[in-house]
Amino acid sequence: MNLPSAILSTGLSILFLVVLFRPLEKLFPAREGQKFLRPAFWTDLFFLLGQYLLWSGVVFWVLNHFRGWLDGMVSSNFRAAVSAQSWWLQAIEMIVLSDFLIYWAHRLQHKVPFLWRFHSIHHSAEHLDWLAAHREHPLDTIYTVGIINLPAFILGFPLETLAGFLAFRGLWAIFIHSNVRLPIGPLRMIIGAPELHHWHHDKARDAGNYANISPLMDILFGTYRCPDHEPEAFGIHEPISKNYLGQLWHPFRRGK
Amino acid sequence: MSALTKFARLAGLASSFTLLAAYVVYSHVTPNVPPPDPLGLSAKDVTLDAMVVPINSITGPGDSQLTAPQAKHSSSELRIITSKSISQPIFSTRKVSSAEAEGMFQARANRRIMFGSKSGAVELPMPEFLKVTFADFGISLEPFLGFPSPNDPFRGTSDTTVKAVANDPFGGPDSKP
Repeated sequence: MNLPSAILSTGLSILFLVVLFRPLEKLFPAREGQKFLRPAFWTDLFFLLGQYLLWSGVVFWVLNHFRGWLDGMVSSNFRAAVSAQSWWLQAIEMIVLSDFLIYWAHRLQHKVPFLWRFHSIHHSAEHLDWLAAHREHPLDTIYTVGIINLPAFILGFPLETLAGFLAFRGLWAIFIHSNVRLPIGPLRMIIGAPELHHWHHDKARDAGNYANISPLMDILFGTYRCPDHEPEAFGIHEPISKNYLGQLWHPFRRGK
Repeated sequence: MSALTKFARLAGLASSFTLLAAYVVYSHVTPNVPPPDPLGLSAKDVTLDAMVVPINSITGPGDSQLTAPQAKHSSSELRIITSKSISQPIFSTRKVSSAEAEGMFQARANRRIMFGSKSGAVELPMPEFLKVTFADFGISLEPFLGFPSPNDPFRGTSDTTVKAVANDPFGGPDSKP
């Protein structure tokens, strides 16, 4: 994809996300009165543009080599045994393993200071909406996406067969950051909901709800939280630059 | 909550979830599109030796066959689980070479204009009293024999045209004041 095509595609993607999420944010606001052009809007927009135009290609390239490196990890016989199972069983195994791994990897991001340096960028957002979801350090993205894809890469599960599910998962991950409080009932125990993830973004660093999408791992390991109101404040306690480049550089600053 | 607010909420929900469903279906049926690569990384030939674990503890007894190292994959075949982003561009554009573009225009220019369908007309039963014909207005028309060719020297003055104008009770083009 050449640059003009990438810019056009990114512009249309932004338009799509606005049309998809903005009506929900207006009609079912978690925080009343939060404007579209809220503080740090431009910083988050730079994160989105950086992700779509530059970093996603880098992440993709790294993962492609990571997958090649992992190819010899498991014997061909084991892979053959996995792929001999029915398709839906493989899919469930892959999703559960992936959720399990990212749950613990995410807890480590909050516990281990080195990993928190990168992950704190995502948590520095003081206003949550569909755009704030994109505030993520590229190295943090490589870590997260690498872990999520690990079971599929090792077991050789063809993700192409789950393309629709993967698309839903990507969009839902944006939705749970949006400024929406939409009562979806028991469905939230399977696919998660904004009110759960908003509590993960509470200013307290260990606020719970570490699961990426489904809160089942949180329920299983005792980190599930769902009060009936929104958190007082989002963000982090430590000082952090307000602009895009400053936030990209933040993990590498001395004295961290 | 007013009825208008309720309606707006329902409409908002319906439109957003329709878009969500449409995107999911679109992503499922369209081939994977790799993300833009402005740094040209995909062109760089970096070879990583595949990690080989020389144990068979998880493979069961008697299984010592390891996967053949395969360090490189085609970038277009890889579909990954993304986090907090949409993995498939909403629209992807394709660069068309000038020769291909010319061929596309040529094909469009050469396309024949076809009147009507090759299949027969659909016969629908209709009550007699609804059947209105030109004869009811005193007009008799010859059966339609096709459009005259642009090269026809008698175009516009064929018998059919003359007869239709002559029998027109409302006056033909010549009857204008």
